Amino acid sequence: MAVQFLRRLRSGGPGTSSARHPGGRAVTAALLVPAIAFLALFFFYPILITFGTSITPANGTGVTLEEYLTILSSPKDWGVIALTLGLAVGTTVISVLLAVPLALILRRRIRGHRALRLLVLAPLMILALVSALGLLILWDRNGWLNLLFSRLLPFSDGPLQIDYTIPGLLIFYTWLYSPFTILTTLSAVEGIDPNVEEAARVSGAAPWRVFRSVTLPLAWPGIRAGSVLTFLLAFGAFSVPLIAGGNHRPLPVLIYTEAAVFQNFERGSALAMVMAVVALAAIALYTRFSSKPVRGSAG
Amino acid sequence: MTAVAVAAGARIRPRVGPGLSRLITYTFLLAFVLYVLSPFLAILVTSIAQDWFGGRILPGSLTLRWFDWAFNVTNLPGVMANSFIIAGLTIAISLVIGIPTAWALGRRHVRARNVLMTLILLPKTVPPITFALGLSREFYSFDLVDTHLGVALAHTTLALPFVVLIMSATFAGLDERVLEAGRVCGGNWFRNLVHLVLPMAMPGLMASVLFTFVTSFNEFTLTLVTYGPDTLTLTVQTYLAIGDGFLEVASAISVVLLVPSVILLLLIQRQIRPENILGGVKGL
Amino acid sequence: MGAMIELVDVVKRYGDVVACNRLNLAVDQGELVTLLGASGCGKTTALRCITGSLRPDGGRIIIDGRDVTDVPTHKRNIGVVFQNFALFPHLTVVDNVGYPLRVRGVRSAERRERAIEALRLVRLDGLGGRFPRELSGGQQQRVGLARAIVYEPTVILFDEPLSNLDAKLRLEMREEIASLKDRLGFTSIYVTHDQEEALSLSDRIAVMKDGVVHQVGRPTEIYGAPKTAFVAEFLGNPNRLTGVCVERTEDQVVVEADGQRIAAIAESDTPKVGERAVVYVRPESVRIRNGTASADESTLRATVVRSAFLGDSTEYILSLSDSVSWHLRLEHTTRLTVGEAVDLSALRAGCRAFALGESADDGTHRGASAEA
Repeated sequence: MAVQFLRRLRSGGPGTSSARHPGGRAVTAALLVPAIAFLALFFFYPILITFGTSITPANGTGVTLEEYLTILSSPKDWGVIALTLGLAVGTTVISVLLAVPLALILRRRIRGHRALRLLVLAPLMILALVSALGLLILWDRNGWLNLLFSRLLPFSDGPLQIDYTIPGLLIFYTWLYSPFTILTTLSAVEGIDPNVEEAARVSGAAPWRVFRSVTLPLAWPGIRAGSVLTFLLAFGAFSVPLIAGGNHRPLPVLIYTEAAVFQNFERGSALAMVMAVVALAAIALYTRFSSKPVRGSAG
Repeated sequence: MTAVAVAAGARIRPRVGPGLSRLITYTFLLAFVLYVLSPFLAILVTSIAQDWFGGRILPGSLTLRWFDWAFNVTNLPGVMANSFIIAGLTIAISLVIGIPTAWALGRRHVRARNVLMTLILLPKTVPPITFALGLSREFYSFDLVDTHLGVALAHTTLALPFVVLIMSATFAGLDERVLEAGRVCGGNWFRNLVHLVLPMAMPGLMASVLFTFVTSFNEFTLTLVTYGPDTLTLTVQTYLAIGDGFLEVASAISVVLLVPSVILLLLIQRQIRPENILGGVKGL
Repeated sequence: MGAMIELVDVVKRYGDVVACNRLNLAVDQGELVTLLGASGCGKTTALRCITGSLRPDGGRIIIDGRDVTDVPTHKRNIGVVFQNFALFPHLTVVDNVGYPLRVRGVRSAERRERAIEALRLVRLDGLGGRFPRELSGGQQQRVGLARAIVYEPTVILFDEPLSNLDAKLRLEMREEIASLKDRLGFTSIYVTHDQEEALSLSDRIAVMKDGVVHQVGRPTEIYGAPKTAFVAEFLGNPNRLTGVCVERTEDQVVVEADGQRIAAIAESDTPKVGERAVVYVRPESVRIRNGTASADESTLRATVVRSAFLGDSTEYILSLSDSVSWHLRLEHTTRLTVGEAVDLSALRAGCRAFALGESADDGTHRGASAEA
């Protein structure tokens, strides 16, 4: 469902194809085979291997669900799942809160709006690690921001600890993944006929009411489309928490640590499977519950 | 004439509020600009900084030492070459595999089209770490670890969905009448391909190449589980430098990494609508 | 009864361009006044000043005795019917119409009742459950109309409401608006570039150009007694003749052009003897002369250049000189052949003369190059 949603978002709807070409099914099949074979070999097979590893006992043959049971009965692992989901949800919420006002400002085509649009694209084009490094330096105990705070707030005790904390991770994630939400929100907001909002105003709706009852519902499909991507990326974020998470280890970091550092492939694989399931379930839930705008219909 | 243009402009421009809301607006924008730009600034300064501690706003002195380290100690030219070779291979593989499929999905009758598209997009939907472990194991048994081809194949899993998506939309959008005209004018299929299809599909092709490049160049997760000493890429090298605590050297490498991204960014904003970028070009 | 809505010296500039230049207009209770002009004349700017989406640089806007110049849009209690309908795409028809009531805190049951009543008035009963995209253009504009009248606003503004409809629907909607106005008696300002729409619907018309109102008056006044060359040119698709004023008396001026003389009614902007002048001639005041001309007719010689069969009549293009051609519509009882020389009679009452002084660009844009 989620994937279908993404596909619809990106390709502008199903049924855009044409079936005018002759040549028969054999040609069609031949054209499709390479990509299918590739993904079977390098995507589905690895998942199968991961799944196989996760149900194989550490020393020997047979089938066991031990790793899954361990995860499900471990409050610590539940905590990790909660942390991962929490970071993703938090990032998504902050991104939307950032995207909506920004889109409302940029639609006015104020001076310099082109440069701002380009700036929104910047985090998309740049390696997550690079920006994470920049943010780490910036928010360091001796970094610029702490210098700024210590000048502005002389009564605060000691430097602010942002790096390696959950608020820090949220700041980093938002920096990295909000552009997806911002871009779709912007194009949705710019697609709204200004006359429709004007109609609401002349009908007697105060600015906030216009926003809530007209602008937001009409922009909602766009906000939703982008925020799904933000959610997905934040949920799967790996490099950033790896270097900037400190003791906070979301699922991808835990999976990697278990497998690569502790050579516990069985547990790592089981965690990876859990993560895939949670990811798909979360997106399915998200698309279902966000399909209606906040306060859609009058009446 | 001017009056018409201005009046039309005014029609779409909602009223900008008075003093206070304008102040809030510009404060918000300024904060946003600083938020986005400051990490880059921090990296730039760090990469040339010396004697920068003890609460100084700017470093005590400037140096190019970290770039020197990056180039000589960490063998940056070699690492860079790896990154470019792998990105080139990824582009080649993705296009060769992706374009026929995209053509079939975009222009031919495919019965299970929706299911197929869903399957092809799946690698972009689940986080890469979920199949990274299995991929790594598979590569060990195939002897693909630490080969340029292997790393490129890993990157292709992420680039391919995007190529298929963009190219099938591009092909579906080709004007059938123009192709028909080509056939009527007596062109054989090859001439039609070169003179009609290729030019018309060029924007999509450009987008695919650019984003495949960015995907590969910035990919981290799958690189980390398939690389070796001979296939060290810029991203992994940055990670290692950060891990070792050499933030200055890591910054210098990062500055080098930024160059192609910034060039691409400038290219892209002229050529491609932002919505297309949402194919997800990010290495996680 | 005092004016329901009043514009006092309203000025609006965009940079160096003055879109509204000291605009004055008063609309009485129950009256429909049209702002008529070509695009860019400032009529839309004036409308947006009234709605409050633009703030005038000078002047006041008074609605029902209240100065609303600094009152935000949503507190002005006005209704607008938009050119592109501007319905809320995410709401059903009945919710669209009920929206103004909803923001006014009207309870759900009453809201629904009044919305349905408004829909009945625009003859859309039974479509309340649909979404705007499921309606035709004409139906959508009816919904727009219902939404604008449902809360009985002080004044209803029509912003080129028929421009997005095809010719037949346009006529139908025009009737609809006229009959609604008769029944409900609302006060309204109607913006359009279509003279026929303006002439048929309005109680009064304000003809605008370059941000200035050239003339305000009842349709018959505007049409029959244009005060400026622009108004004469803009309405009624007149024939024109440019020449020099050769005679001027109490009740008429005579203009000579290419050896032909034409007499016109003398009025405010009347040219002096020896001055260059333009005469606008209503097509319906021109006929093919048979017999002698009466005292209040001028005779002009012309050659038939082209004819176009229009079904109930035929339109002829007649050449008076190398640079002047007129059009004349005739019933089929009179037939002319191309190349034929005819004598025309132009009724003085249908001719207006204006001096081509410094305001030579006024309304002469089309003929300017031919005369140069």
